[in-house]
Formats: sequence, C-alpha cells, structure tokens
Amino acid sequence: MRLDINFLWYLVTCIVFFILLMMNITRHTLREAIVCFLVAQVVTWFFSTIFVELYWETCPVRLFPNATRTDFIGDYFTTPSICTLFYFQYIKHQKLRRILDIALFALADAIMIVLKNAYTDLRHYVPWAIPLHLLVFIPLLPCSVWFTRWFFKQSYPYGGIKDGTRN
Amino acid sequence: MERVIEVAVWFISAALVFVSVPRSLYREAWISYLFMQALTWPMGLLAVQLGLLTYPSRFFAHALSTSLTYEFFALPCVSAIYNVRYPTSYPTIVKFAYTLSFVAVLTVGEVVLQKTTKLVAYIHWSWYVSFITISITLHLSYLFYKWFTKGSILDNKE
Repeated sequence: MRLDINFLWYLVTCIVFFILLMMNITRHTLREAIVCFLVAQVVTWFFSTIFVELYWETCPVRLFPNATRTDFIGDYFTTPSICTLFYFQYIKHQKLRRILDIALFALADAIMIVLKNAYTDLRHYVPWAIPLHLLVFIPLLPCSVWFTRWFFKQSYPYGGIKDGTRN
Repeated sequence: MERVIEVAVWFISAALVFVSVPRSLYREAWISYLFMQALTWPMGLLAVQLGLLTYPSRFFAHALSTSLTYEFFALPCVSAIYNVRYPTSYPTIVKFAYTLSFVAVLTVGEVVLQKTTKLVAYIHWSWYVSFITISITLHLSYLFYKWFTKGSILDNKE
C-alpha cells in the first residue's frame, strides 16, 4: 500500500481513535472498554461479511486482499473504537443527553462513511446501502452499551469484579 | 456434504457451550469467546493471505477466503468451554492432559476434515503447525481470561 489517500485515511483514523481511546480508558475502566470493543467487533465482522457477500459494498483497497474482501481495519478497529468511545460518553450522561449522544455518534459515523465512500477506495457502497449501514450501526451503539452494562451487572461474577469496574 | 458439516459444526458448538457452561458462568464464557474471535480473525486472515492453507468450501465465499464457521464460531466456543472448565485446582499433570485433550481433538478433527472434505486444504501447512498454533491461542486465551477475572470469585477460589 503506497502513501496515498487510502493509506493516509487508515493512518489518521487509527492514530486519532487510538489517542481518543487512551484519553478515555483508565486502569479501572479497561475491562469495560475491552468488553464493549470486542462485542462491537463481533457484530461488525458479521454484518460487514454479509454486506460484502451481497455486493452492497466493495473494498477495492484493503488489508489481506487475498484472504478477505471486507475492510479489515475498519471492522476490526475503527467501528469498535467508535462504539467504545460512545460507551464512555453514554454512561456519563442522563436520558436526554444520551439520545443526543446517539445522534452525534451516528452523524460522525455517517460523515466518515460518506467521505470514505467518496474520496477513498477503502469502501464503496451501492447508494442505498449507506442508510442500511446506519440502520445496523445506530442500534449497535446502544446495544454494545447494553451488553457491557449487562456484563458488569452487580451479579458478575457473584458480586462483581473488584478492580475492573465502577460497580 | 461440506455445507451439512458446516451447519452441524455451528449447532454442535452452540450445544456444547450450552451443555458445558453453567448459567452462572455465561459472562466468563462470553469474554473467552470475544477474546478468541479477536485472535482468530487476524490470524486466520494472515494464514490464508500467506497462502499457507485454503478453505475451498466455505460460507460467504465471495466475502471471505477464511472459514467463518471455524474462526468466528467454533474455535471461540471451544475456547469458552476450555477456559470455564479449566481444572485450576488440580495438579499440573491434569492441566496438561486437559489442554492436550482439547488440542488433540481439534487437530485430529481438522486433519480428518482436510483428508476427507473440501472444508480445509493444507498448502504449506501440517498437522503439527495446527497443533502448535491451537495450543498457543488456547493458552493465550486462558491467560487473558485469568487476567480478566482477576479479583473475582473465580480468582479467589484458586
């Protein structure tokens, strides 16, 4: 991969999201972040595979070009990072602000997707697949939070992890 | 035939998790599953990318050249059972035999599938590479699991 817009996109998004994650994650919230990140990863892996399989999106420039036609870095790192960052915003806020959080993160993702679609060769969507992507992504935000909250409910495991969570 | 086996693997893996993992340890099983898929995903891609092995018959054949069934579901499920059922309070020899039995079953299963079906085909790969890589990934997953559950009752039990 030469130093072109595609490489720059990966480089910048990975660095920015890595820094943002580091700014939000502490030693005490590391386990929460891991759970949220990994569960989002499972969902993105699965849905991305379906999207590519059905030709709703193509990824002409990608990592592991012989092994997959999906956007590995986007699915493995970027989208799970957005969900993890969302988790830390969401739990800080109350009801109305939480809805605003979902709207803001969905908007940010939509802008990224549109830019990626228009200016890079990393992910090209058929026109109606962009709203469909958002239809998967928007519920993924509260669902990954819900899963993480469930995971660290006070009952886990028989009284809660001592140093892994706020509970 | 290959399709039937793949579907069966999904059902058998889910059933094994359902039977082997007590309800009170679902979260422990989940974290094992999640961690393992994060390992197998890039490793599987790398192995296929380097041309070490192929999966001629597979689900989502257009999108993936790797095995979704094996890397996304079967191996992470096995890892969940392995971690949750790990004989922590037993002597080292029992732990060793426990690990060996998991790795042996997975390796033998893979070799049989390699010889009799089109689900997996070795190019620059051997049964012992599978044996070593499965051992390492299962153990890595267990180390992560131990770290993750540190401070919980599972840790205190030891």
